[in-house]
Order: sequence, then C-alpha cells, then structure tokens
Amino acid sequence: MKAEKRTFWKDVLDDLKMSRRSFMKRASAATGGAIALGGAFTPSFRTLAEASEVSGKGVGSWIASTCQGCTSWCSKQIYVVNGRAVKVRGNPSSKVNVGAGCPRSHLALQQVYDPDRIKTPMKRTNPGKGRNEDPKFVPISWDEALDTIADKIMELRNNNETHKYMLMRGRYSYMRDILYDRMTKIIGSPNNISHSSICAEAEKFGPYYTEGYWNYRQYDVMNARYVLIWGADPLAANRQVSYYSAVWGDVIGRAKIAVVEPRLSATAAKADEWLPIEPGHDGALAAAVAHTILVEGLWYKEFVGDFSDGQNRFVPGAEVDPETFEEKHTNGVVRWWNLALRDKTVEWAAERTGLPAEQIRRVALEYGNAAPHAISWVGGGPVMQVRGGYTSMICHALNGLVGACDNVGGSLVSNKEYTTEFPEPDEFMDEIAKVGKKHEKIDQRGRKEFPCINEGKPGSAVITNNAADGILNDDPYDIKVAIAYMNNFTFSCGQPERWERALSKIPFLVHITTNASEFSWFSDILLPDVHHMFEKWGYVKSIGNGYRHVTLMQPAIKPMWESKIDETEIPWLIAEKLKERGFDNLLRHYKIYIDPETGKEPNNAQEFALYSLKYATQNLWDPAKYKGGDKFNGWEDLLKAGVWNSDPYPFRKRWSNMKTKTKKFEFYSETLKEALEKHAEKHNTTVDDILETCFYQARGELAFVPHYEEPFTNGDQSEYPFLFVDHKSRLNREGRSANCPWYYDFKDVDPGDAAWDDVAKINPVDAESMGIRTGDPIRLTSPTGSITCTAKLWEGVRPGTVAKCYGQGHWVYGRLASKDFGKVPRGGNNNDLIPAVYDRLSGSTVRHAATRVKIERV
Amino acid sequence: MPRYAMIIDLQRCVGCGACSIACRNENNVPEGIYWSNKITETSGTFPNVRYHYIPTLCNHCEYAPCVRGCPTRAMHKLDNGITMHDPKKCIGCKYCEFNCPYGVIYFNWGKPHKFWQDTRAAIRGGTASPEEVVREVGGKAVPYYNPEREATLPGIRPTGVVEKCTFCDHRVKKGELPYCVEACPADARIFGDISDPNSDVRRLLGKFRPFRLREQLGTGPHIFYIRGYNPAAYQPTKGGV
Amino acid sequence: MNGNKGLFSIWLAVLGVAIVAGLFTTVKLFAQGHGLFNANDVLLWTLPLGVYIFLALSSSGLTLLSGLPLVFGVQKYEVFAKRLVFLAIATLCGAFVAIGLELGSVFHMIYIVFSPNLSSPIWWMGAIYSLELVVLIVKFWRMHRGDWHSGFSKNLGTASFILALVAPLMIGSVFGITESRVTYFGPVMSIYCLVMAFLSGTALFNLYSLVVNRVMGNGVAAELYEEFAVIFAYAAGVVVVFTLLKYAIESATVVPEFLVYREFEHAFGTVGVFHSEVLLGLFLPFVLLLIPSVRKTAFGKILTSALILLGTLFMHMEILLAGQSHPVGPKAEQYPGFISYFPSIWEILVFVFALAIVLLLYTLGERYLKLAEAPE
Repeated sequence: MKAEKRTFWKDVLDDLKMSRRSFMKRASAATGGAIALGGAFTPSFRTLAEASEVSGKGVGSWIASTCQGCTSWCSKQIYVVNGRAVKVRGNPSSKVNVGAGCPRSHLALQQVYDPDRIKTPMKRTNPGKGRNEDPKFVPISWDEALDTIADKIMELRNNNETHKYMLMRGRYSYMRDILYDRMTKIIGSPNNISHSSICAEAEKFGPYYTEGYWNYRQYDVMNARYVLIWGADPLAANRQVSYYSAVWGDVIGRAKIAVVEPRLSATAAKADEWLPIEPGHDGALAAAVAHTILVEGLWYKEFVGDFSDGQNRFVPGAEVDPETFEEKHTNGVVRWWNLALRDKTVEWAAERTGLPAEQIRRVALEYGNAAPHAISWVGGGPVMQVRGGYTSMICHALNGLVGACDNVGGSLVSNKEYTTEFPEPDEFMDEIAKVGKKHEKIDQRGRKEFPCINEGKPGSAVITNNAADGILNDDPYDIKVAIAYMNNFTFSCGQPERWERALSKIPFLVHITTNASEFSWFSDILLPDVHHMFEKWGYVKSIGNGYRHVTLMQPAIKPMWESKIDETEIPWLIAEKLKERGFDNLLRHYKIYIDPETGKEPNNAQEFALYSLKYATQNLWDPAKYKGGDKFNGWEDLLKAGVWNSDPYPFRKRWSNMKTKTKKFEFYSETLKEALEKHAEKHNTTVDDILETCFYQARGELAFVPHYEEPFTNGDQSEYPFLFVDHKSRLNREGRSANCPWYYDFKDVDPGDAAWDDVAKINPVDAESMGIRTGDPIRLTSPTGSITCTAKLWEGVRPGTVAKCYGQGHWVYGRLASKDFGKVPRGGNNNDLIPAVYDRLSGSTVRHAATRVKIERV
Repeated sequence: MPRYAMIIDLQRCVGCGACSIACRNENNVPEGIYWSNKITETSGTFPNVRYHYIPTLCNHCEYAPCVRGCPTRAMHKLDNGITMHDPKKCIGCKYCEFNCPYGVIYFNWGKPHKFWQDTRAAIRGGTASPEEVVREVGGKAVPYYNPEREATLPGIRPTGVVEKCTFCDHRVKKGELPYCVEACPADARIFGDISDPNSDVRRLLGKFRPFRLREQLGTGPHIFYIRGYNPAAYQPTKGGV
Repeated sequence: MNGNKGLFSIWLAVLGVAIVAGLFTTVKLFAQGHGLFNANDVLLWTLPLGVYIFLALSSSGLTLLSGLPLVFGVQKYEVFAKRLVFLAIATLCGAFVAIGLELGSVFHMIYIVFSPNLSSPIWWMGAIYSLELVVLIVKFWRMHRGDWHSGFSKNLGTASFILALVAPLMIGSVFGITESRVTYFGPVMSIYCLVMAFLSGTALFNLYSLVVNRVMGNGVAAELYEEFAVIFAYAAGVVVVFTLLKYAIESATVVPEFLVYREFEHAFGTVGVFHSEVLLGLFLPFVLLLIPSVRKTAFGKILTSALILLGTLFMHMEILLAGQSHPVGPKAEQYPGFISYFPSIWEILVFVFALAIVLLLYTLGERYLKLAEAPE
C-alpha cells in the first residue's frame, strides 16, 4: 500500500515536471499554436524512460511443433515464457505453410489451458448409461485405471474372445500405429476403427479411380489460370488454409476463380464466379463442363491426345467411334463421351443445377481455355453424398481433360517422404491373437451392401459410422472392451443418437480425451490426454505449395495435470500392466523401438514416446540415412527446426505412370471396374446388383466412367421444404474449439454467422414467407432429429436451402461448449439432423445433400 | 523520428480475423473488447451477392479527436505518430470513445477476463476451475498472459479506464512488427515509416489510390487501404436501356 | 409546529436513507465497475450523465438569475439573491455527485490539475465548474457575512455570472465539437445548453420558492413572483423557438446520420413528429404560461415549473441517448443497429443520491443560513 502510494505521488511529480516542460515548449513554439490545439504532441516521459529498460527481443523462446486444429497440419512455433505457452505462429521453416498462420491456430492456447480438461483418470460410479444418466465420474489413480483396463483385456484373452476388443481412433498423428494397429493386433482383434470415413474418403475416391491416388491433392495455384472449386473453402477450412491464405491475393490476380457451393463461402466471397448450385447436382455441372470442353475442342491434346485426322467428332448427341481417337496419357475419353457426356449440354445442366446456362457455358469455356493450367478442386461438399463417389470422379476427371493432372498450374499429388514404419507385429501375435484378428470387423465393411473399396480393394475402407449399428445389433458379434482416443462419434457422426445407444451397450469403455465429451459420457474410464500441439511427441505429414513436409510435435510445455500421451505413453503403460498379468508380448514388441542414436531400448513410457518418434523419423535427421529433401545434422537439429521439407514437386513424372490398371488417367476406369467386379464376385452377384443394393443409379458400363447421378436425399419435400447445407467454420478445431471463449467472440468471421450465437442462414425470400426474422429462435427438424438455433436472414444462401455451420451444439465438453454441462446444448449439432447414410463405394459418411428439413419458430 | 502507418491490402486480405485474435493474444485484451476489428457487409441479392470485409484498428490519426478531447492527456500522441493511452491518467470519462469516429476505443466496464475468475469445476476433483488453471500455470488473469505487453502499458488494463490499439508500440520499440501484421497469414498488412520515402508503405501508397475511413472528417488516419476485397472479373458490357 | 417537526424528521430520514443507498452504490461501483450501468461501448453515457447535465445547467441557470440583482443591480430582486446563490451551490454539488459516480476512475481526477489539456472541452467544463463552485461559495460567504456591495463581493458576483455563462457553452461543446456525431448540431448545441440552463434554473427557482413559501409561509411580495413567471415564460419561449428550429432542420436534412436518427424509436415516444417530452415538458407548460389565468395561480405556477423542470431533464436525456444509440464503425459488428435503454437500478440510485444531496443541502440551508436575507 505504502509503496503504491509512493509511486502514485512520484508519478504525479513526474507529470508535474513534464507539464512544466511541455508548457515551456509550447510557449517557445508560439507559432505552432494550431498544432498544439490539434492535440498534445509531447510524448510521455514515462514512456520514454521505460523504453530504455526494455531491451532484447523478448523474454520467451519459440519452440517448434505442429497444429492439428484442421487437417492442414501446419508446422508451428509456440512462444514459451517461463514454461507457459503464450503465443502461436506459423513455422517459417516449412515450405508447405510458408510461415503463415491462420485464425484457428491461436485458439489452441485456449484448448491447452481449457479449465474443463480432465485432470486425472476418472471412473464412472453410476452403472446406468445413457444421455440422461450422469456418470458421476470420480478421480482415480493412473495405476487403478490401468489395472482395470489390463484386467478387462486379460479377461478377453483368457476367454479367447479378443476380437471383442475394439479400438476407436479420432485425431491421430503418425505415431498412431503403436496404439491403433500394433496393440490391437497383438491383443488379437480386427477392430481398429478409424474416423477417416466421416471426414472425406469420397474426396479420395475420384482421384483414385481416375489417376490411382488415394489421398488429398495439392494445387499449384500460383501457376494456375483458372481454379474451379467444388464445395471446398480453402480460405476457411481444409486443407492448407495457411498456404492458400498467404497466396490468395496473388492467385486472384492471376487466375479466374469459380466456386461451386450453395452458400457464399469465404472463398466464394473472393472469387470471380459464384455458382450457387442446387445441392447434389454438382455432377451435372461437371458433365456439362466436360461436354462443352470436348465439343469446343478445348481438351489438352498433349495429355489426352486427339482425333487422328484432327477433326473434332464430339458433336452434341453424336456417338463417336473410339478408333478415330488416339489417346496419349489417358484411357477411354471417347467411351466416357459416349456413355456419360454426349447429351449433357449446358442447357441440360442448367435445368438440374439451378444455374443460368450462360454462366455454365462461360465457366466451361474459360476453364477449358485455361488448359492445362486449369485446376478442378474437389472438396467434401459435392462428394460426401450418397452417390458422391461418382461426383468425386467426374469433378476430378476434369483435371484429366484439361491436362492439369500432375502438371504446372494443376492438380498435384504427394511428394516423396522418407519416414519409416514401426516394426511389424506379426512375431508378437500369439495363437489367440491370430485367431482373434481373423474375425469380421465390427463396421461390416466388405459386405455386399458395403463395398468400401479403398485403393481397389473391396472391404478395405473403414465405414466408421456403421460401427454403431454393428455394436447395437451384435452383428457380427458383441463388443466387450473398447478403447477410444481423441474421437467423439456421439457428436461427430450423423445420427449420433445411435452412438449413444451403442456406447451404452459396451460393458467396458475407455476414453482417452482432453475434455469430458459426449463420448466420455458413456465411458467407464476416462484417461486425460495431452494436447497434441503443446504436450505430445509425434509427427505428421502434409502437402502444399508443391512440397511435402514432415512436421514434429514436441512437448513445449510440461503436460497439464496428469495427462499422458495417447499414442505412445498410454499403450506402453497398458503393455506394462499386461506383462504383470503374464502377457508380455506387447511390451516385448514396444521394447524393440530402440533409440537410433544410442541403440538403447525404452525403459519407461516417456522414453518410449521419444524413441519411437526418433525411430520413425531417422531417415530425415540421420545424415547417414539421407534420402532427399532438407538435410539435418542429427536429431536435435531436426527437432529445433521442427520440420523437414521434401524436394520440389516433379511435374509430369506420373503421366502414363499412374497407379491405375492402365497406368493412364482413366476416364474409363479399368481400376474401378476390376474392384467392383471383385466385390460382385465375392458376393456371387453382378456389378449392377451391387450398385442397386448400394443406391447408385448407374448400370452396365456407365458404372465405370465418371458420371452424374441424381442426389439421394432424405425427407419428403412437402413436409421438409428445405435442403440442409452443412459447412465448416474458420474457427473450428475439428469441433473441439467450442469451449474457447475466442471461438464465440470471433464466430462472425464466418460470412453470415454471428458472434456468441449458432445461426441457421436462410434466404430472406424464404424467411419472409414464413414470417421469420433475424434473431428469432427456430427449430430445424429432419426425419432423423431436430435442433434449436437462431435464424439469420442472409442473401448468401440459395433459396430453398438452409445453411448452418458445424461445431456447436455440445451438451458436455465444457462450460462454454454446453449451455448447462451434461444437460443442455449450446446451439445445435448439425449431425442431429443428418441421417446415418453412406457413399457405400468409399464408405464415407454422408453430410451433404443428405437431408431436407423444416423450419419452425419456437 | 519515424511516423508509423499501416497499409491494408484488401485484395490480399482473406477476411479470416487472425489479426484480431492474435491481437487479443498479444495485448491480453479481454473478451468483448476488440482493438483489432472489422466492418463486414453482404451486398446485393441472391444470386448476385457479395461479402465485403474491411479490417479495422485504431487509425492513429494525425489529428486525433480522442487526443484533442481527453481532459488529462491520458490519450496522447507519441513522436512516432502512435496514438497512445496512459491508463494512470485516465479518469474514465469515455470522451475519447465518444469522440472517436472509428469505434475503436473501448471502456473497461468490469473486471477483465471474468471467465478465468470462476472457481467452479465442471466435474468436482476431475476437472479444474478457470481460477485454478491460472494459479497452476502462472500467468496473470489468463494462463496465456503475455508479459511483454507490460513494457509500455499495464499488461491488463484496470476497470474504469479505456483501452485501444497501440500499434503494438512495445514491439515496435524492439524493432518488431505489430503482432497483427506478423500474424496476418495473407501478408495483407504492411507497416512502416510514412516519413521515409523509401519505405514499403510509401512505395505502395505511390502505386495505388489508397482510401482511408471517413476521410472527410479531416482526422488524417494513418491506416490506408489499397485495392479491393473481391476484385472479380465480369463480362464487359455497356448495359442497356 | 409539532406536526411540522415530525414531518421534518421524516423528511430528513428519507433523505438519509437515500444518501445511505447512494453511498452503498458508490462502494459497489468502485468494487465492480460501471458494468452495473445499462451502458455499453455504444451507449456510453446514460442517466448519471444526463442528471449531471441537468443539474449543472440548472445551477448555471440559477447563477444567471442571481445576476439580475447581483450584476445588473435590479434591487427588487435582491431578496432572492442569497437563496439563488445557495441553490446554485447546492445544485452544483448534486451535479458533482452525479459526474463523480459516472467517471470510471474518479481518483485520477488529480490529473485534471497536473496534466491539463487545454483543447479539451471536458477539461474546460471541469475547470470552470470547479472554479464556479469556489466563487459561488465565497460569494455566498460574503453575502452571509452581510457584505453585499463591496468591490470584492461585486466582482465575485460578476465572476460567477460570467462562469455561469461560459459553463453551459462548454457542456454544449463537449457534444458540439464531436465532428463524427452531427446529430448533436455542432456549435449550436452550446447555445442550446445555455438557454436550457436559463430555463431549467428559472423553473427550479420558481418551483422551489413556491414550495418553500407554502411550507414555511414567509412573505415575499406576490408581484415579484408574477414577474418571475413572465421571465420564465420568456425563457420557455426562447427554448420553444430553438426547439422548433431544431425540428425544422432535422426534418429537412438528408445527412445520413439524421436520416437514421429520424427513424429510431425515441426514448420517450413521439406524438406525430414531436417528442413526448417536448410536448408535455415544454410546449404544454409554455402554452399554459401564456394563459394569464393559469400563470397567475399558485397551482398554475407550480404545475408549469414542475413540468418544465421534468421536461428539461427528459429533453437532455433524449438528446444524450439519441446521439449514441447507433454503433460507430466496427462496433456495428458487435452491437445491434439500435441500442434501446432503460436505466439500471444502480443508475437510478445515482440519480437519487445526487437529488438527495441537493435536497439535503436545500433543507439545511433553508433552516440555518437565512436564505431570505437581503441587504438593508
């Protein structure tokens, strides 16, 4: 108090001196009276005095790590002051995100310090499970938690029913296989179920069955002349938001941008053309673009080839003789035309898409004229639909037509990287494990009605959301013990209520999580997980800007409370407990993850976490093992940089060297044909029967070419007048940022959205006809569920649709995420409206053009 | 002495708000107060619709109405052109906020960072209270508190005084860019000395016709905007009657 | 007499309760901040500031009135002079209470002295009213000691009159020089505040005198009150003309801010184009004052003074709120396009506190300071 007083009077004295000086200065500058009136121009002396006290560049240091707030997977740096994470920025060493950040990365600070993170392991004390059953979690020790888990696993092993063990994976790093694959296999279960298919598998389907690449693409936007974007919003969500944000100002100066999306997205706001398409008809638009390009002779002849006599026979409606066309690096362009394109005129597309014919023609011509620097960018919107696999193919096939595939200014695949797989588990799998693993998987993939053909292998793709039905129906069997990490299927899957029932049915469920989420609510044991960006050892790979990077995560701060690393420390600790119970295979396996620097085997969980990372990345940091890209002088060197960059992109190296059956870019997909036939054969039926079973319209040869299929949407138009348009937020960290205050304070950075609210955006024409005004509380109801939220009248939505951002509607997760923790959601979860339906060829869970809704005022 | 100014290139801006969130972070600004902000507008009717975004912050006016009106010179100009505030002298009359034509000054109506003062846990024993997190982590009022802000201003401004953007004077002094400039993923903000003919700021001002907000008021803002947020191409036309 | 004494105790008790509530409010405001007010970063200034303006201007009006005998030597009004000066002091004290509780950091006020900004109308306003308070107190002290006509005393009177002339101009310029808020009518606002000061001061004095006359029954010649009623009517007339002029400009201009202003729902409602508070608190009493049979009755005087006094308070509030009801610049992102207002209990308590201080001082002064005194 006394000291405070003294400084107060000292301040006053200082100021007195200062004002005397400033008066003198004023007096001497009599002519400057006008300036004096304009404002006190004298600087504060205190400020100047302090200036000399502050020296150097700051009190903290920047430590490299990785952000997994979205799947851009940017390399980051964290500013750490006295062991506290204070700031986050893009890692300037990465050639993929070029030092750029994004809005959502900052929210990570409010995640790691989220007060509602679980501090310790907990167990459920209320045996009743259900949405309205408070689990009555009580804290327990790690020891007790791990003992219980090990006992339950041993029980399965002793009863020879290890297949009834299940591992569910959510957000992962490439350390995933330790827990997801190796541990599941060595225990003896086929059931490692990832979340991949609720994300974007259909997006990978098109590229795979045209150019043999099952992954996300990168786009050479800086050299493009036209960028045609299908339901992707690279300035807001997925992927390389940082990189595309960094260059977009240049891109729009060089290229024309057209965005196909029923809602005015962040990217559409900065595009030359917005094509607010009737949801689900993207395939029709793509067909008309392809049709026009062929009719006008705009395809890229160096890639596709040409008619041997140079005469264009692609005349609307006309069948073309394939013999007249000499193809170069593609397969079946004429058959594609004959089967799927010849009558797909601009006028035909205009009728289906709700877009003006002249706009479609203009886009098609300008896109074609920009060949080969003309990107067709396929996002989740048009393809995460019931018949989305084919839309994925036809939209992506445009890249082949204009020669943008693997070309400068075009659509590119991944660069090479040199991380190593973890040691194989086979020799640690005993008889019980081998038998257990042979059982059918709980998600029913590979059945006749679920082809799920990842990379040409039927039954190879996960169908995450269907696992709930597998569990509910004990089909193929019941699940007795399950461990899940960093997932929240009771929130993130369509029709999540099924997951609530399914999880309630599992007798023993463990959730490794940062927050007590909707999934945790049904769990028996909760284990506190680290935050990937600040507290974890791990690495991920990502592409962009013509590069691939491998970026590390490291514990920049001491992990909060008692949290441990999900993919390394926790499986190790379980392995230790299993060994105590006489089953040491898993621990023996983990012991072979030796530190490549010292040759030491890991002796505890922390060592294991670090050694396994060094093991996986050795080729990147060990000069003796150098294979390409950035060169480092050892582990510490890589760790300091935090990121390894690949060599630049080798353009056109894949032309006629693709991983398709013909090695060509397949307009007629021999690869898909083989996969479908394989699946049909397995089930003793025809491809047509498979397609019918899986709700596709194609029959015969049409099934093997990219083509338009009508959308398959839930709900009757008379009862449910509006098509529901789901989209993502710039601030979503995969649905995990809903407990961050900044999320709400800045929610209006999503065009049309409002701060501290969860709004459904309705076109004013529609809203006025229902007497709904901005701010009215409304209920959206679909055939499978209903939510309440707030109405927002906005011109940026197509009439007849209602657009709402995903991310809010949590009923647990935290004090801000929910309105009343454990009871009342804040806003509404879009997934409550969306039915559990699938694009069965890819296994994807549908979220677009999935359902109709009705709107009522409440 | 340099005179600092900022150019915002609207063509580069992607409207993501990273500037504003980063600013919160750097300056420990409480919820509800925006040193860095935006003006958005959706114009037109479907399907001819556009969304516009103009980032805003303190204009550091040459002739700042907030400075002129402040009875105690708590709001004052530094020699480098930064409009600075000294909360010790601020009587909380809010006249600067009333005077500011740009809506960038905010008053501390209550205890800042209330969220972090809550002492209740969601699950007793299993989760923390916000207050407990701050205690455990350290920091001040917020766990991710940035102590570097204290160099020229209280790290967190007390109840009863106003606050606003200071062009990150504490960083500029160390030769660092304002944090919104550094955090902008799109490089849409260009900061520098407008009195130096060779600065990037001057170079760009010579290249484009800049505009400033409410220029007619004669405040002489030091935030200049160049190019357009959505420079879309369109088919040439003479219209028609 | 006993009954009166009983009433007096009750009156003091009521004021005491109000002051205790006011002190509690003060503590609460210091502890929790001004979030207790229904104000925000758009609507910055609310009822406490309106009360301040009202009381400060009324005080200036009283001082201006006191100038008739003290500066211009109208001897027949000397009988009112001491009371006018005292009322001006008391009313100004109330104004200081209101502004003190409005300011966020009242202890930093020391910098008004140590770090003055001569280009700030708020600084001038604060300086002038502080000086005015001192001058008025000294003047009152001189009068109380029987010194009415010494050079010093006369100069004090002149000084206080000049300060009372300038102070309303400064209050007006606080709003008027804000270029970005054109609906405050720029420099015209200063003149408006001056005439409003005179009007509310006169209304206050009329009301007060008549009430005191009733309660205490002291005999001032009735014709003097009649003359004051005429002055009052003239003052009201000036404000009426001014207000009509404002309406005319408001309804004719196409300056965007005015267009918005015209559209918004006014705080106290409108009848046609006119605001209710103007109709009931200005036009109606003005018309009544024009009717001699009303003006001449005590009831008529009390009614018109009360209406105008309330009217000026509401008019100040209306003007204050209307100019701030729309967010400026990016604040439109955060706040609705129009902010509606109703005072919080804490703002009402600030009002009550200020009023109680004024009334307590009136009561004590009337009881102990021989306010009806005039020079021999």
